[in-house]
Amino acid sequence: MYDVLIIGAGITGSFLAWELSRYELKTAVAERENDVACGSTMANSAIIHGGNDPEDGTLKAMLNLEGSRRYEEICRLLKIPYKKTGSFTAASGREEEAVLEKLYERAVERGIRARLLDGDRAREMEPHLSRAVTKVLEIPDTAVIGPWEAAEAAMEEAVLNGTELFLDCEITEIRRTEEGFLAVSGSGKAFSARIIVNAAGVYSDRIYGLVCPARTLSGREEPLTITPRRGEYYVLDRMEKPFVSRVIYPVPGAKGKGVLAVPTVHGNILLGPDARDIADREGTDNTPEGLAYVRENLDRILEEVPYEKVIRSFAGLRARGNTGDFILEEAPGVPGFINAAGMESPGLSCAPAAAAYIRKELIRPELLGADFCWKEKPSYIRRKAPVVMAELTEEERNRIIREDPSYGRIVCRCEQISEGEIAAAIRKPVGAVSIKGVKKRVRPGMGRCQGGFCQPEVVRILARELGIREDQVVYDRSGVPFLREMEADHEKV
Amino acid sequence: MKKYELVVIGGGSGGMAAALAAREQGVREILILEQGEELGGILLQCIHNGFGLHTFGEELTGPAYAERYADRVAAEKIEVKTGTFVRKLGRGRTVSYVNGQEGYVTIEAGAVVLAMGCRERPWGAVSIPGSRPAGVWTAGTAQRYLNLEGYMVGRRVWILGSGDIGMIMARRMTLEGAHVLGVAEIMPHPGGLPRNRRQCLEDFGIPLYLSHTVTGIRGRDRVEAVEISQVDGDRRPIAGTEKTFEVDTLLLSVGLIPENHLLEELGVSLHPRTRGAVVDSSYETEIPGVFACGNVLHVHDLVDHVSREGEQAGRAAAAYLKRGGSAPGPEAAIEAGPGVSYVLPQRLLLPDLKAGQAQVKFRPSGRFKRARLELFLGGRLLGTVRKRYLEPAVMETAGPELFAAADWDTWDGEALSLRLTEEEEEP
Repeated sequence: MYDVLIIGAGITGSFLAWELSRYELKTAVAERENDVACGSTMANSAIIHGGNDPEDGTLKAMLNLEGSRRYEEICRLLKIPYKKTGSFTAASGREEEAVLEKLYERAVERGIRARLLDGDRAREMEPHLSRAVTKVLEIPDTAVIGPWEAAEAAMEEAVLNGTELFLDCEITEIRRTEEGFLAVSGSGKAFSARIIVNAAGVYSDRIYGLVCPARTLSGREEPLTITPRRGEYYVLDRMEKPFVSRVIYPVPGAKGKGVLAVPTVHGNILLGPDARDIADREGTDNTPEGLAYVRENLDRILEEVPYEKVIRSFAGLRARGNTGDFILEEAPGVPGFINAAGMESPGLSCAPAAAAYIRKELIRPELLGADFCWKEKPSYIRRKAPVVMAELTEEERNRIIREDPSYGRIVCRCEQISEGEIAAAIRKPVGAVSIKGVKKRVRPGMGRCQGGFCQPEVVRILARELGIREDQVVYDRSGVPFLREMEADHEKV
Repeated sequence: MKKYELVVIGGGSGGMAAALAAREQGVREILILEQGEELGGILLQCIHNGFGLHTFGEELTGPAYAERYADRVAAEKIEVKTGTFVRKLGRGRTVSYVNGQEGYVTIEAGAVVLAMGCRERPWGAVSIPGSRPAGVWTAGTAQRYLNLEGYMVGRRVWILGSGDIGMIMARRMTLEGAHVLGVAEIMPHPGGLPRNRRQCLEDFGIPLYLSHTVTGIRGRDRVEAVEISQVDGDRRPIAGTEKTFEVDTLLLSVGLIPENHLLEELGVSLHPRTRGAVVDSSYETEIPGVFACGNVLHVHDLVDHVSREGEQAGRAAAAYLKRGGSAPGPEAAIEAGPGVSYVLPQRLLLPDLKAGQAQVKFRPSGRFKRARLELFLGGRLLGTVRKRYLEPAVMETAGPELFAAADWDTWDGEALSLRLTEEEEEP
């Protein structure tokens, strides 16, 4: 019997597992993919927003402010990259300037550091800002992180402290029992749990539907529905002089924050996203229209966008709920079933704060036993920082190579990643089991050659470390054919 | 800091030829740094034949061609470090590398030859609409899986781009039992060498769709189908021309890019067309004592030409060491004019021009049946050579015949330009 079963190991589920792992509590996480951070967490803008954008009185506003304040310390604890780049919101003309001033006032009211700059002053700081831009709102505390690295690190630390993570484990059935719930996966794995937290991203309405066919929201007649809102992006290669050094937003519109330019923690630039509501929950396709929209809108706030440096385009789905706000509540009529749904933007910025909110406000101690109280574990194990050769001094590197020469064997030329770093990313708790899993953790394939040179090496290392054959290695999802043995392809005579 | 006379970065065909040529010229302390586990570079995965017709007068496979050079490197006792990645080149010709045996090391070189080859333009850079499933590879990566690792990447294959590697992989996959349904080429003319078109596509009945591109990839987890469309004169897909092919694999042969991160990090500006360094007729880059050859300088279509260029760069590096400095004399810049996509070297040494030793390589920007190759100085025609059957896929050369007629003693520093024009049909 688990105290809490979390469904979904995206950023929300992972930070919740991390939050709960500090306490004397038996927690399981069921994730349908073979890795953490496979949905929205893998494909978003990677920004910790300042918190002036969400409307007053929303969970988004409250949790964003708290998230933004806490992230730097959390990233330090989890030993993951965090970079306070600051941001510009760029307005052109009177109408946009008026919106900008409101955003500025809101920032001041909320205690967010902010200032308004005229276009020329802003262009001195960001030379590629469009000449059409007349006024800029600067938020110096806007930051960027590695979203999937954050989810993975949080989950790793949760697992080190007793959380049980079940991958390739899609919950297809939930029954209510006397003590709580019985959740069963497609492959027949059964979980008894007193409390379930539904953090299933674009599938959270379906998961809710398993236990409550009517899917009602508190105070409303309507059911919870999730509409995947697709956003398409370009990724630019690293440059000697980065194209922008801050997050550049347009003035926000009806469909969110608009098309941005984001300098990532790894030195790339993200350009995007557009926003299109779609029906397909797996519909992470790139479209000519979506990418054209990104270019057109970007050209309104920036100049000389170096599209020749594009090394990748991708699309992600935001799990958009039907209330306009996050849906963080105990489901009406289903005691102990907690929805953490509709975690669209600023879901990443809010994730640690949302996790704390769920624990403090939504997980009712009485459901965990008559004498339950939140008691911290006497000792808490911190995750070990992975060796990142690129961040070490030459002396430190050479000491590591003397102990293990595989750290001197560069596998990924573009990102200069050694075999030792890749093997460690597979061996570690919550380690990689796929090519994409390796790419997420240590970046081979993220660079300008996009894995052209290193992928066969990564396959070899994965096979060796996982004790499988190379033709059993998967690119991403389990069970999907990747390589085939040659003999099998010859027609039998 | 350990010092070598010559450090060659890259142990493929260009690097080995450069090291051997320098040795022939008497350079003693030579070091080849190679990323792979053995010498040979990309040749090692090119197990088809057709290499060495010019160099050895016979048709060899890639590994056999590489072996001939590697054997000579061994016989000459040239020092080689394999499994060694070069991280950094300094303007003062320091070379920083890393390997498992020595860790991070920095050495000094009297001269450096860059011979790092090229990489394939990746999937991400072509922004194909649709999903991003398993089953999409660059042709070279698929070639490595098949020829070096022993794995097939798929059974039903579409190929985007008619570059040489794409066509060679169309044949190779067919020979291993895969069904290659077609090759799409966005340009109105094929990308690779004529002989590859014949031997790899036509001989196997693999259709080539000119002025077509892939406009959609289907399949969430693994490629299930590709959508092909015809393109207009501006290479934009024409609505209504879509065709769908059920395949499990898409291979990309959409261009090769010189692997120049060492120069880029130094802030050396690369030639916009070749994406390699700008060099003079001794293959010296703008950094004194640093030479470049092979695919890191410009993408070649024949390995024999890479070896020749490597030899020239190696000899030039040896001369630099002997002289204790760069080749003296003013240089005449030469630019690609109408009909020419690029000319190399970009700077010709005047003494070479005077001595009738200047030579250029160039690629036409289109197809020509009978062309006039003309050398201009400002508006003045200095020399003409006639060429037949030119196409962008085939690199051309021109030597003394183009430069001989000019009077170089009166040259005033103005830039030269090379033009190609189609000759009128003879009556």
